[in-house]
Amino acid sequence: MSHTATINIDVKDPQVVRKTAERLGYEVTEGECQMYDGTRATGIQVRLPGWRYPVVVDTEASWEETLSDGTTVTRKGRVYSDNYNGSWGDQKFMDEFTQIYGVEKASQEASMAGYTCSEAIVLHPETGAEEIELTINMPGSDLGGDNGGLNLGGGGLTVE
Amino acid sequence: MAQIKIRFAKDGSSKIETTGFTGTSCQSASEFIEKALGHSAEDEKTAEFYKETDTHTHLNVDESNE
Repeated sequence: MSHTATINIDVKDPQVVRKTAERLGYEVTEGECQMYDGTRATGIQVRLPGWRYPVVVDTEASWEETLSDGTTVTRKGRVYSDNYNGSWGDQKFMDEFTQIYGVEKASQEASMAGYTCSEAIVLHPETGAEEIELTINMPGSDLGGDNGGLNLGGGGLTVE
Repeated sequence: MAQIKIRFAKDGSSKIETTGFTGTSCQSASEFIEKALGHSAEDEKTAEFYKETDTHTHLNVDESNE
């Protein structure tokens, strides 16, 4: 291992949110929803199994985040959810939604960049838990240089 | 062949690994996927990063926006 990074997935691509919900068999609607604390959220609403309130993905919302180096960046997309620490909905369904969103989003971006990819169920080497492994084949990218001979297309340029 | 492998766990965490790249090119190679998925909250390189052929691993431990 020569490089590690922690990445926060931003669930915000409306097309992928719909595709994820469809794959998981969840109902999707659009509109405004009032959460328990009075927050009014507008966007794509996904009904997770057993959840009292829908998860609302506002793809137009923007917000600022201060990074560890002190710089501030603007992010787009915000997820509103309220399961009252599990009392109003099992967190595992939200985690699974994020998992599948990641798979679908990465697949979409790879395809847009002209790469083929495949999906497989694998076991975690230590815990034995099932995971989804997405393999993206990048022929011609092993030539070295600053960009490794990559043809990035436009696939990676859709996120701020 | 150069490949990017991404493991998505049921708890929402994910791990990205690039193989078959030369030099530091794997960092550029995985950048478009990282940006598409979200943003990097932590980045660490080891000495192996600068080897001619390297393997990069990225961990995702926090999926939520809020």
